Amino acid sequence: MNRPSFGAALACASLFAAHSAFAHVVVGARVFPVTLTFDDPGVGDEATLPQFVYAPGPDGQNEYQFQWEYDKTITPTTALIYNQGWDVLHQPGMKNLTGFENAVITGKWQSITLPNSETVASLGVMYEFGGNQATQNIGGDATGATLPTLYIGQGLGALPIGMLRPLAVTGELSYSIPDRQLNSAGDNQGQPFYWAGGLSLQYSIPYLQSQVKHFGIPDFFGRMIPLVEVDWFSPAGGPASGYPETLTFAPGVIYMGDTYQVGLEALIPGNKAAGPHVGAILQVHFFFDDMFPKTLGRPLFQ
Amino acid sequence: MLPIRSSLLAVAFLLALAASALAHAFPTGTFPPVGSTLKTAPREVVIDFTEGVIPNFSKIEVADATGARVDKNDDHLGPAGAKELVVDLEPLKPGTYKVTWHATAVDTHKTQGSFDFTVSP
Repeated sequence: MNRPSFGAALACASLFAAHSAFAHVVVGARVFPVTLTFDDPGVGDEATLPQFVYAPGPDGQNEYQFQWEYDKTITPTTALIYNQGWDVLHQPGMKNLTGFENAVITGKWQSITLPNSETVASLGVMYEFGGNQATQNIGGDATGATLPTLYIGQGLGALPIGMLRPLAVTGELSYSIPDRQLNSAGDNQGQPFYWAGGLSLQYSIPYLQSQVKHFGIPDFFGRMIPLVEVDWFSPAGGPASGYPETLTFAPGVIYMGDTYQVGLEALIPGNKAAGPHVGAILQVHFFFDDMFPKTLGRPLFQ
Repeated sequence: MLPIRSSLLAVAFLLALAASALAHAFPTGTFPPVGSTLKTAPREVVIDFTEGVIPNFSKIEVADATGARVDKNDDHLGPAGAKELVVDLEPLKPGTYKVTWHATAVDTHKTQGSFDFTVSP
């Protein structure tokens, strides 16, 4: 692994962000918004443009990630997803390092959709492409990896307590199989086998107002979905120098527009390896299936 | 910084398009209001949507606590036009009623939902 002299936390933060892919999905009365730090459970025609990540490191080191993503449905339940980013690593007294993140392509199949129970699940395979020297300088990987991934979403609209019915949970679990396994010396530009997961707990004000009780909340606030995301990364065994286990909490809020959403979350380290300071993530996401329903926003094959 | 500059231009372009685009049809307001209690029995249920809906592919059903239909099965657009779907009701007795709806927006996206209202004695 050819990483720069930045902390492992920054490297891991870059890693999980580069593996993120985003989509939104409507299942019955439930809208699962685009989560910011991991994928949500469905497929769609849409794009993230842009997503900014601010990840402060130790001793004045900072990482700035500028990311984008495009989702294209092939059929109504399958999609290809591309995402990448361009990062700046700042170290006091040194020249900034810049480079593109590892590109990631995901094939995804929305295999279970149950509108009445607000249940959705997808299966996917991500492939992370190896990066050049600039990519490695900003914490990326020299070699690629394949990640079979499970995505789930469950609305809790069936709960007997009305005020809890706007709750929903989503999750993602990936297992990474490297093209080249990291050796015990950590010098062969490989990666470890690892697990990565995300979990979100969401409370939908739009759902509250339209399904449970209309409180007359003004439109702007009535479009908010407060949520907490949790991201976890852990080597699965074998040499993993430079890849410590990390845990990150991301509380925030998503504003749901008719054809776009804007999300803002704090990035709170959950352990020492996840970093010393609180960062932030801001995302603007467009729903092409709503914006261009007859062209760009429809599946290639109906 | 070229990626950032190019992307900001793309964002501005997309925002301009998004402002005029159609979308899924979600309720913006209902009568009776979601979860409300009314002293007088309503004679119709009205749902206003964010987008126009296709009435032939959109429906409102109203049932009492036993599950018996109490609407007249005459879904039609309201005075507000394509964004407003209406169904008339049979005379209602005091009790809690469940409204179940599904809508197909003019861009063919489908949505659905349900809510309760109560008529007090």
